[in-house]
Amino acid sequence: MPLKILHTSDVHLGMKFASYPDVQLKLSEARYETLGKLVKLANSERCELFVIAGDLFHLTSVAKGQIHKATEILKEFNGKLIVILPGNHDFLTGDRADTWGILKDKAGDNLLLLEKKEVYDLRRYDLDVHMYPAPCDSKHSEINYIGWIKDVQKDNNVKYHIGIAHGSLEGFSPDFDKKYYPMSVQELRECGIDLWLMGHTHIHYPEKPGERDIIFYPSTPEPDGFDCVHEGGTWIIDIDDDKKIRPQLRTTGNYRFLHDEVTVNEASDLERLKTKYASGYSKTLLKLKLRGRLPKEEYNSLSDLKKYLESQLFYLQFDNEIAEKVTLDDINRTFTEGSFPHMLLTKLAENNEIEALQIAHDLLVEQKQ
Amino acid sequence: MIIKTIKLDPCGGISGKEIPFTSGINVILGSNEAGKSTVFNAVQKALLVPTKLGKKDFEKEIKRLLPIGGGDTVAVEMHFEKDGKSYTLRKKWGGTKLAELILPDGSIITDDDAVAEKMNLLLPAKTGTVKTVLMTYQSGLENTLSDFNKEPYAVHELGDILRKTILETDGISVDAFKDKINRQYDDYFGRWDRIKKGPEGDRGINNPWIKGSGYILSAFYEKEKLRVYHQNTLIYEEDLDTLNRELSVISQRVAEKDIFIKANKKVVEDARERRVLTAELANIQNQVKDLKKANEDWPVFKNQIDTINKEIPGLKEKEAVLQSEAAAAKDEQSNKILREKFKKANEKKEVLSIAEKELQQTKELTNANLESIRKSFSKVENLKTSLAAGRLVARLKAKKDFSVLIQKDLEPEYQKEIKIEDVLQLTAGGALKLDHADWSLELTTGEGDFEAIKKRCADAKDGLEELLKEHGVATLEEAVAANDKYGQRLKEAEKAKEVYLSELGNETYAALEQKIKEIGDVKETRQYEMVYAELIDLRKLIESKNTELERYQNAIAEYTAKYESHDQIFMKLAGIIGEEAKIKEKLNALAPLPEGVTDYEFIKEYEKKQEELSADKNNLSEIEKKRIELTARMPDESSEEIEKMLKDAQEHFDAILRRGEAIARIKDLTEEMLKTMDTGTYKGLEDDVANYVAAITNNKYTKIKMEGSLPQGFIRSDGKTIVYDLLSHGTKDALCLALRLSMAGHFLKEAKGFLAMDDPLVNIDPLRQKKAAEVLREFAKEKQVIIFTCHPNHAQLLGGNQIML
Repeated sequence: MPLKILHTSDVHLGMKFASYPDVQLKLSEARYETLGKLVKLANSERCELFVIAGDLFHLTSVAKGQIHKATEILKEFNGKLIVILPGNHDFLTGDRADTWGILKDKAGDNLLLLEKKEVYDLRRYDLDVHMYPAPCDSKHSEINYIGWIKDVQKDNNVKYHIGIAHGSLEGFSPDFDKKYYPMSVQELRECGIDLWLMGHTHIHYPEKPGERDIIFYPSTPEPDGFDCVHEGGTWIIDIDDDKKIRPQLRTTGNYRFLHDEVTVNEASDLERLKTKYASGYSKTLLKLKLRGRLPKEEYNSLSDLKKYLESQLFYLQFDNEIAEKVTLDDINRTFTEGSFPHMLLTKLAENNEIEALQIAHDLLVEQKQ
Repeated sequence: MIIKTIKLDPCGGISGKEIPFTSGINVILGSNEAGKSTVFNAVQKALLVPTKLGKKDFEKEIKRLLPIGGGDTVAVEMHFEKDGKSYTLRKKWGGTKLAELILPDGSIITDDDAVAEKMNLLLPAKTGTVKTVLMTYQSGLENTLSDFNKEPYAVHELGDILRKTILETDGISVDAFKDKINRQYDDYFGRWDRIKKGPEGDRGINNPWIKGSGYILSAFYEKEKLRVYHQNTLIYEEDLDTLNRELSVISQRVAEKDIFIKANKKVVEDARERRVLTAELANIQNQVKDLKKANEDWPVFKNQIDTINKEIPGLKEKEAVLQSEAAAAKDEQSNKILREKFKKANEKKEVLSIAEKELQQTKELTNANLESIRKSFSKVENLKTSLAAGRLVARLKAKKDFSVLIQKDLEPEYQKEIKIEDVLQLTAGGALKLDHADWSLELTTGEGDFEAIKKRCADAKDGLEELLKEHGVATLEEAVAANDKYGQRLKEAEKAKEVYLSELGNETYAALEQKIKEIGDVKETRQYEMVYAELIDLRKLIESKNTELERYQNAIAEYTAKYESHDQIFMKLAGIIGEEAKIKEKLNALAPLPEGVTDYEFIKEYEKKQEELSADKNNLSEIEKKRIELTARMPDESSEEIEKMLKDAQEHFDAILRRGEAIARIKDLTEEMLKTMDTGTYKGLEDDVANYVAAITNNKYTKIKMEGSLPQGFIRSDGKTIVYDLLSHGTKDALCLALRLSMAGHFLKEAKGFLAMDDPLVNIDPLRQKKAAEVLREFAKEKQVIIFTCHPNHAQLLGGNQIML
């Protein structure tokens, strides 16, 4: 009997977005909306199993109201079972009053928290699955928790053996200090598992799944910062009787974070920027870095560009490194040879001291006016 | 560049008008509002202003030139020559834009930027210079000069004026700029140490500067706050991880132990009961064993008691006999010792007797006697010595044979026969006596009383002999020998007596002798030790029999007390065997232990686990408390979020620092440029200015006084140097015109070019206007001059190409 899974992770409910004070409440709320979107997607795809591979919550201690809100959303899942793995942000603390203690009290019968490093038999949920979890119990760990799985005798009477872990993957995740439960593809493959549902890294893996791929990271379903420039996604994974895996990546995010670095040297470049963000970016947070040198009039119009983009975008981080284009011709045109402004600006221009040239030029022109 | 014509079609209030210019002096004469400034602007815009303008630039440059009668386009056409070649420049601003430059070969440039680029090459100077120096229609130059006049009490030297004139041609005050850049520098670098690249005085985030901190320091503190926040958050997360790991480990232990405790509760209870029952069973089994033993022992012990009671009397009798024999043997052993002692005493007594006899037979010469003899002998010897202490020498030479009796000192006399011619030499101490039948010679020394000494010596000698005689000896040596012998005998007698008395001990010989008599003859007995050993063995046997008897009697007494009688033992045995069976039954019903452990070991292990569980639970509670305390200080953001914020703050700080450094660079460069400004730059200018001033003032002022490389003032015809501020207004205006012409000449150099200016004669007194006009005409021989005036008499003075508006 084939199995259909929605595989997500790193929802980070409760994230506060303090760096974005103007929009932080909306960004925090968006994560709940996205969780709802995932449930609807799982229902429409008729997924039997809804897997959250760590970091459903951003912290180990989340307000009760927020936990209640999450469980209410998850209760809408029509499939057979939701499994949740504690990740390195919402790791197990052993405290009954922590997030998991409260969630277990509030959750329905179709929610299973994978708290132990032991085989979970999902046949009692009418799923022919043995699940092998590696729950996190701290934020950082230099060792991963999948070691026990390799040594477990796999039950041949069960069709699917699915591992679920949260941590970094060598060669894929940025974990230079190896402190996020580091794992390698070889280690994971040696566990004798049919499918690995992973979490932690906020971009999906593999980039282009092949037939032999058994390790999957879904990325975060809702982007959470300018280092996360995708649209947010989740895997819908079909695994058939022959254990052939067919993954589909679906986009899920409400908001999108984008970086744009543009070199602007003339008015048309500014117009192109306006055109680029003219529509369809009302839910985009843009970190725009402008470089280049503009003639005076276009340079003065940058504030108009900023206002325009702010009106078109959800949020704009405007990083303006454009210098007013001040050339020797400009200097000769504006100032008299031998005059102090002419000498100062010429010296700076000849030394290619762009920023100093621009500041001095601005001050001198302002003074002249 | 020489401007040939300018056509305004339309421009401001002028339309369809073309103005021709000559290469010399051109005077545009018109009343106020006649359009002089429009013409000036038309020339300037055509040469310098591009046609593609932004809104603001359009408003600033062109708007006021839009046709008065309506229309949105300003159009100007200019013909000019450069190096003898003709160019046509057409420009339109506003609704219709046009930039067109027709080159001498007929080719046309129409791109606005390309036209501007080409014009830059054709203009006689850089555009800024053209604008501010060559086209001085209400120019900045006048403003600069008028600034000096606004400061009536400041003393300005010509060097200052020239320097300021050049540096501030554009109307920008260097000092104001310096102030501005210094303020900006302070705004950025307040409390920031540029060398150390940190806060002044190393005052970091824990001790921050409150007042006077600049943008850089503020951005630095902002970044540092985040860095500290990030570090603290990392520590918090690490601490929380540590606590959680401990909690996890202990929770796991608690869970495992809880399972063990619960699972083994019945087992351990049964183990405890089994220990009680096993002890009871052992007790019962011991009782059965005791009963069985008592049953067996009772008749045997009874029999033993009877037997021993019969043996003991015989043994007692034998003991009494042996005791008598032992006493007799012991007496005889004492008598034997007494007899032995008596025998030895007799032997010692005999030795003493012999010694005393020998002592009696020895001449008694004690040590005291010997000492008396020694003293007497010494006395004699001393006197002899004193007699011999003198020195007498007698030499006799015989003239015939004779015999003489000789005595030297106390020596005996002797007879000496002396032959003729013999020489007799005699030596004595104190006295020499020669007695011849015919004569007697006696020689003595002069020292002492020889006779008296001699007499004392004879007395002493007599005393010695008497003493020796008294003790029966002849000489001192004999006396010494007699004393030795007497001493030896005395010691032997004393030693023999000591040995004898020692043998007797405290007894007297008579008492000892009496005891010997009393004990009588020797009796025949066995050795005391042998008899005594037999007696001891016998006594031990009797004692062991008694002990054995007592033990049997006690055992019977104990059994009797315990079981009453031998018959009762059977009854008790039957009852207790029933109890044993019941306990065994209970034991079989108890839960079994795990293999390989005893009840005791299992209970101990269970109790140990209970204690550990209790300790773990307490520990768990303590760690949970710590975690509650820690999580109360939970940061609002995770370390990853703060890391991002820190990265942004670092970027912001870098940008602020970069901008600050750029400002610092401008400040440094400004100071450096002003400090090293080479006043030699003005050398050409000084001469030109001096010449022009001399010409305009009719040589009232002929030279410029220099001090080093700096011009100090004008030297008047009377030789006095007058600084700028002391010049009259008219002379200052003359200086102003001289400066204009000098600077135009300075920038145009040898090139053909133009100088456009508003009426320079306005403020010059009438007497000097003529001279000024001459100077301008002279200047116009080399450069094109365009002058705008509303004064016909000025136009007349200037002459040249007169253009009426």
